[in-house]
Amino acid sequence: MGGALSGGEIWEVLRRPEDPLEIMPPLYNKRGLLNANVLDLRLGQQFIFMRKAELSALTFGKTSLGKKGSNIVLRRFYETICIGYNNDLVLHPGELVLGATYEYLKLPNDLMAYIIGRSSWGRLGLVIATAIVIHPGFKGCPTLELINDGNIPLHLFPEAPIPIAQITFHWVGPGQKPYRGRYSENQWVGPTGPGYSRIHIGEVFSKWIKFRERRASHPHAI
Amino acid sequence: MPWGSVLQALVNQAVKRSDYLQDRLEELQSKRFNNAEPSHFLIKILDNINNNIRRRLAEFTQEKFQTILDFPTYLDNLDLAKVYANTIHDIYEYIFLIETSTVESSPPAIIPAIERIARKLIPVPDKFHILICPSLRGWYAYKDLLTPMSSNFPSDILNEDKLKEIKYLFVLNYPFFLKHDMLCHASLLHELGHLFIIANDLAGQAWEKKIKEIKEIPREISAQKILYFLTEYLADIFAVCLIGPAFLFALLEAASPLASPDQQTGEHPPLLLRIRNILDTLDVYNQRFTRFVNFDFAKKAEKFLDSLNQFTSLDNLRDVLDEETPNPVEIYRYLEPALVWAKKEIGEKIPHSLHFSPTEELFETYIKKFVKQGIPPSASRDRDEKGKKVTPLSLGELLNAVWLYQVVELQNPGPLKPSVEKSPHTGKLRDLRRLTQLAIQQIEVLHLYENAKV
Repeated sequence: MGGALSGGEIWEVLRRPEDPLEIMPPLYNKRGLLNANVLDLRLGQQFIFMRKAELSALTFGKTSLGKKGSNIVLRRFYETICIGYNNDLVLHPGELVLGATYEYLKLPNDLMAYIIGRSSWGRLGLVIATAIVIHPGFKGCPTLELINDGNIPLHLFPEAPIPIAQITFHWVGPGQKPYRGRYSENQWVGPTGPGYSRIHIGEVFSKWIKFRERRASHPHAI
Repeated sequence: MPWGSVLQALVNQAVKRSDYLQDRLEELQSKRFNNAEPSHFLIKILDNINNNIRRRLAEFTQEKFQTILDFPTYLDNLDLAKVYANTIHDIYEYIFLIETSTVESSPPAIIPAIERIARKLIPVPDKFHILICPSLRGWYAYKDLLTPMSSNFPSDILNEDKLKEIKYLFVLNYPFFLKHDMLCHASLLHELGHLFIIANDLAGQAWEKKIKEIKEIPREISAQKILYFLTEYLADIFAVCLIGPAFLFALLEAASPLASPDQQTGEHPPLLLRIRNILDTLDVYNQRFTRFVNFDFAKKAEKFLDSLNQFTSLDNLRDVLDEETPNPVEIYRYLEPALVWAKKEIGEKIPHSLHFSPTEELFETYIKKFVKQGIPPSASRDRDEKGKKVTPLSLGELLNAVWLYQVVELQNPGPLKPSVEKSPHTGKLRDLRRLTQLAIQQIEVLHLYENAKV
């Protein structure tokens, strides 16, 4: 056991009775899997756009509002919209939009995965994810960070049967503790659309920001 | 008295409002709608009417106002100006409906599902437009938009040819505060049932075939009331045929806050009698879970349905509802032959593929494997080795899976928790709706894939 899973192995994990890999809806078939060794993922209908006009910069320290305050600042920055199959999502050069996969995944505890782009989109300048690791036990629609790195606007097709990303699976070695994060099996339902950045929730982050604020107000005390 | 000046003030006000309407209509044309076809049709009609009003108002020139010097001439013109002013006011109400049906303001998931079912069931679907939008103060309801338009608006500003392009234009409302509650939106199928009854003239046929024969209906029961009650029962039968017990659960949750279950209103029979009719319909369509009582979910749900069945027996209800005169149970008795006929008729008119019928998979796979694990139950895969065929779940299968999970697992009668906020189920109920919304979206997309043969 080790390395990336072959198509045949993915097929077995999908059909095993104990702790299977679940993908809903199941838009794969055995033949396709055996040929590719990866699963294709499609684009969902929810997107988070950044309201650039309303904020000069994303800053956390100066608000001094604690966790809640930072959350409100972030929410002011984000705007969620739905674009169904009737419309295209137009991604302009240099623009970042958060999307999610159309597929809902539940990873077993002995598998981790990587979401990677498809070369056909990549050659047009589309980057689909920068944080590509999916931990064992993850549940939900993974968030995609869609960035147009090319020079011309790109039309993307939400909910279309056109793969935008692919996922490759890896066995996790023995002794690995199951993932206990926010989107783990502990939570009944995982994210059903793209998620906001939660950078301000981290303990180290907030401690560091508070430390800097204290130091700024009493430079000689510390 | 310068009567012309008084009239001029009224006309100027109407012109200003009409100009503002024009702006609003132009802005609406740039929006995205969940029901694109009816919304754009309505915008076109209203734009046309508003332009005609502006043309008529332009006839009130400065010279004309100066000629209005006596009171009778003023009155003649005032009536005309008032008609246009009132029509502008009515157009605002229609615009409000369109504005609330934009993608941003209404939940997109359930709308394509209702539209898909409507297309299959309503005859001549291209002549039948349905706008689904939230209502700020109202509840689940349906409203005809075309008839009041053609009867209330002055004929000289209506483009009759444009109106003749379609036969029906209805709005289905859901309460705004239940916007994301896909489970309660099962009640929208009852409202769709009203349109199905109108399109097929089922109430009229039931009246002609069954109710007209009954001679002994007392005079104090008005024919109008009987017809209203009959229509409500028929719409319930329609919804039950499509989604079975899920409709009963949705009705119990969505209708209970409205009025006491033993109260009847002018148009609606008491909730208890509607439950009686629904339970009878479940038996007729073989949608109870008695065959699956070896599954825990089915057993508990059956226990719940049995207790409802006992409480809503007609003998019991006659005592419970005895304060009403005439007793609504008597009206129900008169309607029973018509309801028996309608159950058969509606069952035959709805294609068998759309009937909800409980299967083992509902308990074994959709509830246990998916909902209980927090995975959207949106599709089933045929169990062949190649695993090629993916079948989208029907709305009935999905709604019953999530409703049964809620009724049995999350709201199982038990001791009340000391604090609602601390209840572990508050978050789960919210998550269940989120999961259902995603499942409905995925199901509708799978239907699209089927149609596109991809």
